[in-house]
Amino acid sequence: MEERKSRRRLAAGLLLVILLVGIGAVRVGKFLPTVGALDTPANTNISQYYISNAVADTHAHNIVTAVLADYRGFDTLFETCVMLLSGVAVWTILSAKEKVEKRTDKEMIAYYRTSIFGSMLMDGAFRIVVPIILIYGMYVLFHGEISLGGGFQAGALLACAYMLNRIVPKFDVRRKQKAREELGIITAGLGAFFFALTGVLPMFNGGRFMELGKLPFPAASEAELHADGILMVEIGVMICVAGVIITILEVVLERTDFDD
Amino acid sequence: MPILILEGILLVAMIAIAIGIIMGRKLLSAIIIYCAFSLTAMLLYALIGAADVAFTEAVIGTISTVYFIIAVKSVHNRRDKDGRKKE
Repeated sequence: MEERKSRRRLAAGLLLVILLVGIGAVRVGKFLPTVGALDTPANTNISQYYISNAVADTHAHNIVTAVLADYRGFDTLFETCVMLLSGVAVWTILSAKEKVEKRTDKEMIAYYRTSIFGSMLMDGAFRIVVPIILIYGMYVLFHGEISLGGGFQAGALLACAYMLNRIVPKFDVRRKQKAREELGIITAGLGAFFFALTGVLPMFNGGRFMELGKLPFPAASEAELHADGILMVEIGVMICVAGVIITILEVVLERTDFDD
Repeated sequence: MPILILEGILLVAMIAIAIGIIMGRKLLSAIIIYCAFSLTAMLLYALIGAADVAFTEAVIGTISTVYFIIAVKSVHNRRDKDGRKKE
């Protein structure tokens, strides 16, 4: 009885806080600039330059990609490092926990007979869907400059395919295709390293860090080099994102006992 | 004007879904409703014109749903040292 009362009091207090914050947000909201108005600072200074020069500078028709991978490449490098750090943190914290002891093959096969995963329907659907996801991931990566997407989405799609591969198919297929979590985090690190290497390469050619127009490759124009650099940056981001997602999945799955 | 109306519908739907997530009895059903929340957010982004963000939201919404399910399962299945399930 006492507990319920205190809980109700807590809920009322939280509701009051939420209401106060909401009222404050609404009151402050009218001082903010209108979204999309032409005379706001966001639309007057640098974005005009991006809109008028991005295609000529980088050959990237998708300006979002141009800004993310080229103009703001330094930013993206450290975002990738944050992704890597989050993967390392999860791996470090959870590796203190013991892994679930492996059950014998016979038990596992008996378990998967009763479960919906590994049934013929799921297995068939899995076999159709995964190749399409993989090819779509590659498409998103290489078309990132022209249409939607880029490295991050491509990496997430690849990790999606791996996730399905880990969860859905029959047991005898699954046992052979298991990545170790250390390999996942190493892959993620290599992706971030590839990104950083793309940043360092122009320095051998007399450029500055992340100055993609000075990459030491043969190319017709500086804009073409920018396009190459954007592709390299996105490949690095893709490897890092896919590695981190796979690592977190593996680390948690290894320590989880599914038996209900 | 129709775009504004559509946006309004989506926003109201998002609020309703959020309330549904909080009110849900089972954790698993809350996760599935959360997936619907991210889908609605994706539609909203696509409507506003941020197609890149919408695409990211779609992919990440799927992955985070799987993560949540695994996390909830692993919390439920925590065992004692003797091998008995904790209540």
